[in-house]
Formats: sequence, structure tokens, C-alpha cells
Amino acid sequence: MSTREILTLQFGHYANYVGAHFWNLQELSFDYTGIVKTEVNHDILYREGQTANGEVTYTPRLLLADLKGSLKTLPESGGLTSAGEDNDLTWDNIEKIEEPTPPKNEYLTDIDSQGPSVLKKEYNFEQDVKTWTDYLYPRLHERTINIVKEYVHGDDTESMDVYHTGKSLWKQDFGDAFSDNIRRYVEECDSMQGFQVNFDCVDGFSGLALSCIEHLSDEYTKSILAYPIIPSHFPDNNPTTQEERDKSNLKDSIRLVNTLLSIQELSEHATLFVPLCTGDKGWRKPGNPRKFDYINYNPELYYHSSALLASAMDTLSQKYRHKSNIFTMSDICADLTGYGRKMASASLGMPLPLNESQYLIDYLNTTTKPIYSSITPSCKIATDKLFQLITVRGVPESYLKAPLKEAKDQMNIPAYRCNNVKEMFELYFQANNFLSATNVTICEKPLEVKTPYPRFFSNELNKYGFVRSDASQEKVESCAVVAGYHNGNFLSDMIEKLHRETSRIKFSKLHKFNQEGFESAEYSETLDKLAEFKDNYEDDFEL
Amino acid sequence: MAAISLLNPKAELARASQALAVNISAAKGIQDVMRTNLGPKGTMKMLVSGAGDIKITKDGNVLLHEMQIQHPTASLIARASTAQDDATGDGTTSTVLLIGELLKQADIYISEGLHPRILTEGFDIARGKALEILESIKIPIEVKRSDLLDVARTSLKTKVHASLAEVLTEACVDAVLTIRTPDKPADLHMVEIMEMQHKTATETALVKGVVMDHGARHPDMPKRVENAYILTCNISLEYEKTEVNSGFFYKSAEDREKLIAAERDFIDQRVKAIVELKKKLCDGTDKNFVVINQKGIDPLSLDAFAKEGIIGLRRAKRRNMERLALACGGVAMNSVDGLSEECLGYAGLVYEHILGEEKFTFVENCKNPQSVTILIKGPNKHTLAQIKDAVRDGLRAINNAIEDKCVIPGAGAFEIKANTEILKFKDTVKGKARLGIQAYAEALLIIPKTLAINSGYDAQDTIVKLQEESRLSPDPIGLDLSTGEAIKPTDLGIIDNYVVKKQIINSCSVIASNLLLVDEIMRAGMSSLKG
Repeated sequence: MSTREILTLQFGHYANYVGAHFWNLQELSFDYTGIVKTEVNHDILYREGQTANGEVTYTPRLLLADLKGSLKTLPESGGLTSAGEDNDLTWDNIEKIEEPTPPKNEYLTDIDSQGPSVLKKEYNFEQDVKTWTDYLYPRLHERTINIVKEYVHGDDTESMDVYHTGKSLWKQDFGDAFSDNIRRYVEECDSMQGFQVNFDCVDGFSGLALSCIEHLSDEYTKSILAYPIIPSHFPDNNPTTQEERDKSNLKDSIRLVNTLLSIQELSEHATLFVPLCTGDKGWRKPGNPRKFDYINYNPELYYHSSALLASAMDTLSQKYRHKSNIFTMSDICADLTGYGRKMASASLGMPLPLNESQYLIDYLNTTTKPIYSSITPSCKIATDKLFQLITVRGVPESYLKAPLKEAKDQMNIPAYRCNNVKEMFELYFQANNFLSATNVTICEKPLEVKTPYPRFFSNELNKYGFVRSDASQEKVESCAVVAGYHNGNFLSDMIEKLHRETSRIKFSKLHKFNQEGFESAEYSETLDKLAEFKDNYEDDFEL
Repeated sequence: MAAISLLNPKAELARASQALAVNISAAKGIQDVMRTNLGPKGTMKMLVSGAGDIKITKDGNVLLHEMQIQHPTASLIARASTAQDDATGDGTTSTVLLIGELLKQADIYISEGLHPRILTEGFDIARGKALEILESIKIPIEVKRSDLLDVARTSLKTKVHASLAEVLTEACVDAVLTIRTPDKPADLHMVEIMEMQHKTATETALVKGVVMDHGARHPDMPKRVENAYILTCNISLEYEKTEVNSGFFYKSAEDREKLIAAERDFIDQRVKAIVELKKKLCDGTDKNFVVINQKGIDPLSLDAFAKEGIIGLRRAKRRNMERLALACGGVAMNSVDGLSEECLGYAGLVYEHILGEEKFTFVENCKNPQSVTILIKGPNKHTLAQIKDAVRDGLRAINNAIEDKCVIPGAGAFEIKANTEILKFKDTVKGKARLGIQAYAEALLIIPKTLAINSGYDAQDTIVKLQEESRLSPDPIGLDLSTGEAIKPTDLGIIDNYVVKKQIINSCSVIASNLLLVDEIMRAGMSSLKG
């Protein structure tokens, strides 16, 4: 069968951080030699094209939106076409108003001059990265970048921080141009499988994204997989004075209302949606960072936390990007969303902390902790009554179990009769999760963490991301990752938490929403609808 | 201490004369930025972003949108001006200049101790008079090509280079005249604007038909057909898999393929119905068949069409469906039931044009096109953007003239006339309000003054010359920018939109008055209230 294309849409600054990592992962895993057997069909996410000069291009099938001033060094045309080659201006007198050119950081200068051969060098990304384009490796199609001109990135006085500003933005020229770009991408596709929409659900981009999702569901009969994302940190999270605390409170309330509206509307228009955040709570404050063993990341750096989410997305999407084309996005959506439970949670286990001298069978047998942690805010993944789709990548078959001769105690473990990694994980989940349906996908290739992926791994890992038993020093080049979608009753807790927190807000105090014509009657209606949505997760409907 | 300080000690504020000074300096500031762009001789501004993105324009509306205006007063003025553009499509720069000038003139009197309220009363009276004068000099027109050309040309010359303006003028006027039904304002949505990065700007042209930005997706489909039936439809010709819980219940790919084959048949039936119709109507004649679908067409269906020599386009723009029906006739079909010849449109020529990865499909030579396309060409992105903005404004100007059924002389003629008349009228008004009227009359002169300065003439010389001339002549007198002499604008075909001027007079007076009456500016957020 032909390629089943996916169009990816990114709305908002943090979503673009995640996106930049995601596309880096894709592009840096390309094999130009033709020797390596790839499992992933890149044509699903990428498109082949041609510039005006006849050069062939291979660019992400992507549309993104961000505010003016967020791109820094990346031109709006995506950096593929060289602008300004001819200046046959018919005008005699031109006043030139130039913004200062922001300096390119070391990494960007290096990829401009030398191409992909510079991956060995060390860069200080933690300090250099001010925006997502600072570590973006791919070049984009000229259609890709859509800038919201009405608001400026980082402007406090007039910021796009309310759901409804985004909604009204969609009704103006921006929405027209954007939906036309969507149409042109879709027109190119022979048999599209669906849309993936990643967006910031805490600011005005939530409204923009939801308007877009509504448009997609009206116009195209394709699956829509949405990831509403809450950033790992906000600059106002650590207030010191009373005034700052008040401001932070107000902002938190606005963010919370935006999240509420996004989730409620997603439950109507998306096919499947999975909220993501690396903080454990997500709302009021993102909360404590989720712990990943052997990874030390700084939640205040978007550059760090977004890499985790991107790794999860990349791993989760393996299933419907596989060359064999057996599964598509719509299968995944259908699998997970029975009983109208359109919201699912996601989990990530990175790295899968196998000891380098340990067999998988022993690891799974002895480990007491779950092998993944939730990356959905305010959500604790239950251990029973689940529908789950798990993807495991990068566990070599040689790590499965000891050969018969050396097996010794392993013989006594029931899992010893499993003949491959897939069977073993299936057995593991069968044993651990009561009354659950689990579907496991295994990918041979690990997650390759080439520069500019953050170097936040602990020293105790070896080159392949397994826990080292000796004390040698090696740079991590790849690691095994497990990630999963989970759906079940437990999500009603999360909705309950959201509902409780949002009902406490004194809505009349949030003038920004009132200004945009959103009134408290509508607000309570939204709350009621969320409560109705929660009913889908109640026990009475179980299996 | 101001009252607000008691309530919120953190509030920043500016009072009375200070507040006024803030407003006036902001208005002057934004006026200074925009003044060089007024009129056909005004300069262009080239905006270069940090990453090297270029925008070249002299359209006030575009400039105001591009500039990041931080000052609250300035951004208020900017919004008023862009609202002007939204309403009428022109006059943005004039609005900014006039508001600035009204405040400047007012400043002179206020610094002498006059209360702003009295000034604004004067403004109000003068505004009424200005509207009367506008009424008196308007020239009724018929919807004639020559008149509309003048209107469009005057507007376009202030946006793009003269040689280009000429091309665009013709295109815009013909576009509006083609789609217009008598006694109704034209629906400008039915003029599609299509960009093509190709050749030079002066090759921009009007296509009496529809141009679409996509082409046939099958290598065997004809690239050019004549005498074609056009079927516009909104029917999915693409196999969509029904959702099944495959991950848990399907074990092999073969199982699924079987299901797919069964469901595929459904789509094939639709394709067959279309092919049947084509066979019935076209086989044995020299006629051809084109399918333009709003939904998708998958490779198998495309294949079936290609075998029959049918051109199939998928994912047409929603608005293009409407345009196609108007341009070619026929109706958009939502199902293959009841497909017949009456549903089809007709076009004399359908062909494809390929530019790099972009494909364009032209549907031309329609019998009675009610929808047309202006095809913009240009060597680079910023030229295209500039022309696109200009074309939109040109179309608006023409439509305004048709709606108004009248025009007014341009080239600063109205301002000169109004200045003279209002000054005469001032003498009949009693009290201090006349000072406001005086200020208003002076402020109006900013338009001809700036026009003169931008063309390289001395402002005072010109104004005096024009005023003298105006006193002698019963007809309105304007400024000839190429000679610096007084002329009758109508002789040279320099005419403006009536509604634009009317809007400028109204909005400027109101905003200037509001700004003058501000006596306290404060920045006090709601931060202290718990959310």
C-alpha cells in the first residue's frame, strides 16, 4: 500500500520547542548511505519537493504557528530559499528600516558552513538556547512557518494569553491563510492517515489550535490526534514579593481556564487527545518535575523538558510510522477511545535502565517500580483495567535471556519460555496489569541522541544507554525507551482534579475573558460539559 | 496626589498638561513616521527583519500592521487608522497625518491657556461644515469604465510604482465590471487573487475564469483540453478505512486487506457513475471532461479518470467551488445521484502551468464569467505581497465609487477648498469656539502640504499658490505633483473616493477630540485583585 501521510501542526512556543526536538530526531536518524535498514517510513512525515531553482528538497510535512519575534535567526521562509537575490526595485527612494540581525549561535553557524558533519563537537546549549530555532537542525518548507503578527513574543502588556484571542485570530486572515496551507498539503497526499496537532494549551494558542481542529474535523474525515501541552515551567512560578504572587496567581488562573477550555473542546472535536507535561501537576503550577532515573534535567529549561516529550512522541508514533504500514493513526485512535473516552494518558520510560550485564528477563523480574512514569499532568496511571499501547525500542534480542546452558535460575521464571522481546513484554504487562488489554510494539532501533539533543544523562550510563557496571566514561549515543498510551477509569481522577480546580476560580475576576465576550454562564456550561465527559470514564461502563 | 494613588499606590500616572503632552508627542511621532509615505511621490519603506525577511511598502495600513507600536496613544491612533482601512480600504496615512496635525494645532492654543473642551466644540462645528463642503463638491458619476479607471488609478498610484499602477488599474476595473450585476455592489470575494512567483510584476493580469493553485495528480491526465465540461463536486472519491479496533483484534495484514477491498467497491461505484456520464456526453465528440472535487481523490480513482482522459483535481478550495459555479455555470454536486448534463459547467480552455513544485490550473474562456481571477506575478515574495495589498485596495476603491455613485476631486483639492470655506465660516461663529474652527481649518492643510513636500516643493509656497488660485476659481483646485502648479484635478483624472474622505473627517475629529480631553493617563493593572 502507498504511504499513509501525516500532517503535523504545531501551535505555540513550547509546542515548537518540542517540535524542534522531534524533527531533529527524525532528520538526524536519516541514513544517507543506504546501508542501514530503517524501520520507519520517513515519507509519512516528510514530503519531497522542489525549490524554484529546481533543487530537490525533503522537508517536514509541517505547519507551525508562533508569535512575531520568536524566530530569531530563522527566516519566515524556512531557510531553504535564498531571499534577496534580485533587487530590481522600481522605486527611486526607499527608506530602509532594518532590525538588528541577531547573532547566530555556534551550532547554527556550524551547520550552515559544514553541514551535518559537526556532530562531534560540544556546544553549550543550556546557555545558548533562547528560542527553539537555536537548535533546529532541519530546514523547513516555505509554507511551514506562520507568524502571528498581531502579538509579539515576550511582550507583557499585550500578550496573547487568552483562549478567545486565539479563536478570534483564526477568524481573521490568519485562519484563512493557515487553512489554505493545510489544504495544499492535504492535496498533495494520496492517502492521508491523519493530523497530529501539538499545541500549548495554556495561552491564546489553545484557542487557535482548537479552531483549527474544529476546521479539520469539519473539512476532512481524517483522524486527529492532539497533544495539548503544558510547559514545564513559567517565568512567574517563583514569586518573591506579594505583588508578584498576586500576578502569578492571576496568570495561573488564566492558564487553568485555557486548559479547561482546550480539554473540553477537544473532547468534542479531536479523535484522540493526550495531555502532556513534564511537571506532575500541570495546573496552578506545573509542579515537581517527573523523575526519570539516570536523567538529570532542569525543568526551567524548555530545551531540556521538551526533549523528553519529543522522545515520547517519537517513540509513540513508531507504531503507525512503521514501514509495514499495518497500523494507522485511526487504528490507534479507535483502539483507545472506546466508550467516548477520547482522552488518554501517555507514559515514558527513558532510559530503560537495564544493567549492561543484565538480561531483560532478570530486570523485569526484579524491578519493583513501574518501568515508565506518566507524562500526563495530574494523572497517576493505574495498574488494572487498562487499554494500553506500549512501544519499546532499542532492547536487543541478545539481551532477552541467558542461553539454555547458563540459564540456571532463570529457568524457574515463567517468562523464560518467551522467545523474543515482544513476547516477554506482553507477558510482563499481562502479569502486572489486571483486567487489561495491552498491545506491544517492538522497534529494534534505540532512540539516537545526537547533538543537539540535551546531554542530561547520568554518568552511569554507557554508550547504548544501559547502566554501566564498570567505571569507564562514555558519552551516551542512544538509549532504549519505552513509551505508552494508556486509557482507563483512572483518567476520571484527572478530570475530577481539573474540574475541582477550575470550579474554584472566581470567573468574574478574570476580566480578560470577559473582554473577549466569554461570560460566566458559558463558563459554568463548560464546567458542566467537562463533568459529562468525565462520566464516560465511570465504572458503570466497564468492559 | 491623584485619587488613584490612594487606591493603588503602584499606579503610574500622568496628569493634565503632562497627559496632554504625552498624547500630542505620540501623535506627532507616528505622524512623522508616516508622512513621507503620503501620495504617489511618497517614499517606500523597506522593513527588514532580523532573520532577513523583507517587506517593501508604502501602504499606511500595511506599515501600521508591521510596526510594533508600544506607545498606548500611538497604538490607539494606529488602530483608528487601520479601522479606517477595514471600513473603506484607503486613507490610512491621511488619518494618521490629520489626527497628528489636529493635536499639533490644538497644542498651540492650549499652551496659551485655552480649555481643550472649547477646542473640541470648535472641532465639532468645523467637522459639520467640512462634511457640508464635501457634499457640495462631490461629482456624481455613472458606472463607466473611464471614471472607474480614474478612481482606481488615483488609489493605486499611492501604493505602487506608476507603471505597475497602470497595469493593476486596468485589471482591477475590468475585474469588477465583469463580475458586477447592475444596481448591486460587486461581491469582491468573487475576484480571486492568485500569486505566482514568476517573471515580473507588470505581467500581472486579469484572467476571466478561475485559476487554481493545484493540478492533476496523475501523469497520464491531459495537460491541456479545450471545449470542456466542468463537473464541480463535493464527493469523496477516496477510500477511508472504517475504524476497527485493529490493534487488539487483527492479527495479520491480509485480514485487513480483504476488508479494504470490500469497502473500496463503494468508491468505485461513484467513479463509475462519473465516467459513465463522461462517456455519454463526450465520446464521439470533440468535448472533454474535467472533474474538480472539493474532497480527495485517491490514486486508484485518479487512474480510472486518467484512462478516460478526464482531468481530475482534488481538494479544491471551498471558495473556489462557489467561484467555479459562477464562472463556468453548473452546480456543485454533493452526490453522484442525479448527475446530468445540466449540472455541468463549461469552459473553453483548461490547462496546467507548472512552476517548480507548484502547479496552477487555468479554467478560461467561460461563456459568462461571474467570477474572475487577478493573477499576480512578481519575481519575489515581497513584490507579490506588495501587489496583493495594492490590488485589494484598488478593488475596494472601485467598489466604493460604484456604491457612492459619486467621487470627489483629489490632489488635495478638497482640503484646500475646505480650508478656505471653513475660514470664511469661522467669522460667522461667535465665541471662543471659533479658535477650534480655526485650528481645524489649518490642520486640514497638512494633506496638500505633505503632498508638496514629498514631491520636493516648498510647502508654504505651494499652499499660498493653491489658496490664491482656489479663491479665484469656482472649481476645486488641487496640486499637480509633477509641476508643483495648481490644477483642476478632474481634468487630470485625479479623483478620490467620497466615502473615504467622509470617514477620515469623522474619525479624525472624534479621535483628536478624545485625546485632547484626556486629563489623566494611568497604568494601574488589576494585579492586586485575587484571580
